[in-house]
Amino acid sequence: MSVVLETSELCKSYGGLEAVKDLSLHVRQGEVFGFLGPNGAGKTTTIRMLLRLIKPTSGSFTTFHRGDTGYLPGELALWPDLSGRATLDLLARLSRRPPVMREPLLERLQIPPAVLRRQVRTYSDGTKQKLGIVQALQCAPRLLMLDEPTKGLDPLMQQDFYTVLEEMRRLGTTIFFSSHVLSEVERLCDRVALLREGRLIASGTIAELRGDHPSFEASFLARYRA
Amino acid sequence: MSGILLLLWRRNRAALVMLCAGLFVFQWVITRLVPGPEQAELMRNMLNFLPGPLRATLGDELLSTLTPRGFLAFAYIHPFVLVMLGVWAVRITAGALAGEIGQGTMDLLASRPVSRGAFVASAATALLVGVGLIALAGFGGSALGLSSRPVTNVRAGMLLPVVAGLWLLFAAFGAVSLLVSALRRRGGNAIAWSAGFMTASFALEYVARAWQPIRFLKPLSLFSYYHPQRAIIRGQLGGEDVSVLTAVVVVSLTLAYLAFRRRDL
Repeated sequence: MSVVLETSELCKSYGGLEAVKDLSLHVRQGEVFGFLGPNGAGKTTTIRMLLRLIKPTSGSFTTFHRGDTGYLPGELALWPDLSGRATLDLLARLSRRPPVMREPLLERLQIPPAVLRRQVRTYSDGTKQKLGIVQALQCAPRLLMLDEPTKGLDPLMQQDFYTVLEEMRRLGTTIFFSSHVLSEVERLCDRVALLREGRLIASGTIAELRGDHPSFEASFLARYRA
Repeated sequence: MSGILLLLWRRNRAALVMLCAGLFVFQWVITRLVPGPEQAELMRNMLNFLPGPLRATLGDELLSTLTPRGFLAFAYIHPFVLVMLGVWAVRITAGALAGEIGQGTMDLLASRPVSRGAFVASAATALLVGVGLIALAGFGGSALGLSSRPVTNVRAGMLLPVVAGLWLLFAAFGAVSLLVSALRRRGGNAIAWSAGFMTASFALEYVARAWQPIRFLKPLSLFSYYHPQRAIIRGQLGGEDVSVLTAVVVVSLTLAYLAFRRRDL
């Protein structure tokens, strides 16, 4: 499988604070790649560098063009005075790709047309998050970057979201996502990278990372308490 | 229409319509209040009794052009007009860059294949078109008013250089505001700096007229390059005024692009 995302000694500093240090990793075509770490580990900073929202202090990376990438931010903000439909139309237009996945996603995530006609300001947090998922996936991107995508979703909706991701994977989409939820990482990811204080402390398949530990969670806790 | 421009239009169209309507009505009302030649003469005589510094603050140009035509031109530097155009110039530019960053929506926009230059160009287009439409709405109000209440020696077309000067002045203020927006992280912060710059510029222009020790600072105020009474008399804008304001627009927009292209979002 070809590599679609690769970083080489990627660093980002804010003044004296090093948010990401010498991060080197690669993600292969069609892979679901989990990015794990506690708050402040540098997950969001890395994703924002890969999306060219912020510039690395040093190091380099290669990835798809932004038109081929779907993104769900960790702190999703939408325009309160736009309707859901107008929001999706605007973001599809900016992506320069037709929103071929929109209707099936709306159906799967149970967002009816009446809700889409309403202004976003009237939405619950869960509905906003669902709209965020649709905007990220609607143009069938080749690479998906999801920053804590299940935040705010109820357990039933989380299951529907996992099903959507599995369908996207079957279609050949590469998925790069950060999470705090070990069970979803274990369920979905082919490979995982663990980050602590901006440094990569381990990466590999779930089985490789579990090693001799009784579970992935036990292995995770052992690494972070070490 | 580009996606970013479409977003700016959707989010600001109601404000634009209200500002256009407000200026249209204001200038129409002004045509109802224009004094006749005798009344203008009486007012000129009365104003001549004012103390010198106060006359200077009002502008000697105003006294020498206190005619129906001069009165109409004066309505284009009335604080109401300046506030209406200032609201648009600051709102559209602060909201387009710093506002989107501050509310977190810039991540969704900038993660798509939209160049940094497109953000600045869209905001600049919305600024220039919006200021033009508001200024033209004011002209429309004057023209409609003059068509139903003719004023001696005045045709609506005489106001066109004044409208052009007004457009250029607020294009310059808006361009400075866009530069501020390109450097800040919050819309409110950008609004405060830009409105502060505009207010300081306005205050400097008036205080420097009356107070000799700071008169040398007057060229620093952008209002020093806007002379509606002179424009209506000459039928054209002053070359220096056009040059300075155009230079401010071009330099500010270029700096805004360079700053926004390099910054972290």
